[in-house]
Amino acid sequence: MSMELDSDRLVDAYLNELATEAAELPAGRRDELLADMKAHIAEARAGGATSEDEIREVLRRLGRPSEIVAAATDGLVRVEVPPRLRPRDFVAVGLLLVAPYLLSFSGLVAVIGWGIGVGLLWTSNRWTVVWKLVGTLTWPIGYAAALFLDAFFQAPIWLSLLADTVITIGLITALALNARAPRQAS
Amino acid sequence: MVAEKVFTQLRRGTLEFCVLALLQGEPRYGFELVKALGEVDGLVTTEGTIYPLLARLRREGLVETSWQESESGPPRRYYTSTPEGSRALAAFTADWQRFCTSVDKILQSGRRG
Repeated sequence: MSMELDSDRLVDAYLNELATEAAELPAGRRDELLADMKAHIAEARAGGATSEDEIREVLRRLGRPSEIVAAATDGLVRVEVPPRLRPRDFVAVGLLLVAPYLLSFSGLVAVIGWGIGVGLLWTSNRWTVVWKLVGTLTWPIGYAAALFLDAFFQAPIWLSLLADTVITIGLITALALNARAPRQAS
Repeated sequence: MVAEKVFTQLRRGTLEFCVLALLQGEPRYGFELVKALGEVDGLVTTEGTIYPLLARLRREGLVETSWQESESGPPRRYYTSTPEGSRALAAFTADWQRFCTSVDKILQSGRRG
């Protein structure tokens, strides 16, 4: 009984180490490798390798997990996926989001900040023209909504500001989520 | 040891054809293949590396796999050579024989001289 448990522990430790080493592999390959190794060990045990020493020998013959994963990595072409958002794109999104709120602090800073954000947005290859328009019009749309609420519904100022904030955050979030890394030639 | 490096490379390069050779005529499951390769002296040093090799052969279309239940243990993944695998093996075998003959000839002439 305790012999079984010791063997189980050895096998578990081995498979855990393998899973850790295999973390770098694409999911499909990793799962297949782990399943194959599990089946191999189960097959060896069903074939009579039960004692701790026998299990140790089975695992020794299989080899170190790092070697096995290295064999699975062999010939694997690593494709570098460009990030969807680069630092400059984060700056663009950040400025478009924050610049309108700088208006009460300094109109000039707000306009310059927003202008830089728009410039970065339009020179980026992460967005389609439609999304660039959305990003550019976010401030005017939010502002217009606030004015509209104020003028036609005599809404309290906090409500207008809230509507503006919700629209701004919503549109800028959508903008950030709809960034696309350019497709690479393969 | 220079020769050790050479044989590591040779093993790596030839093992897949040994696998294909073992699969001519009969399907075999992973464990069985690993054992058959392990019985031959000096061919396989780490049995576990055969599984990534088998996975690659399948991706390349040189072998096919199918699952079958086993009476004694877990379900078994059986490997069969595809016609493409058999063709690759035949081409390799011809080249390999020529290569061995050439190397043998030079090695023997060196011994004599």
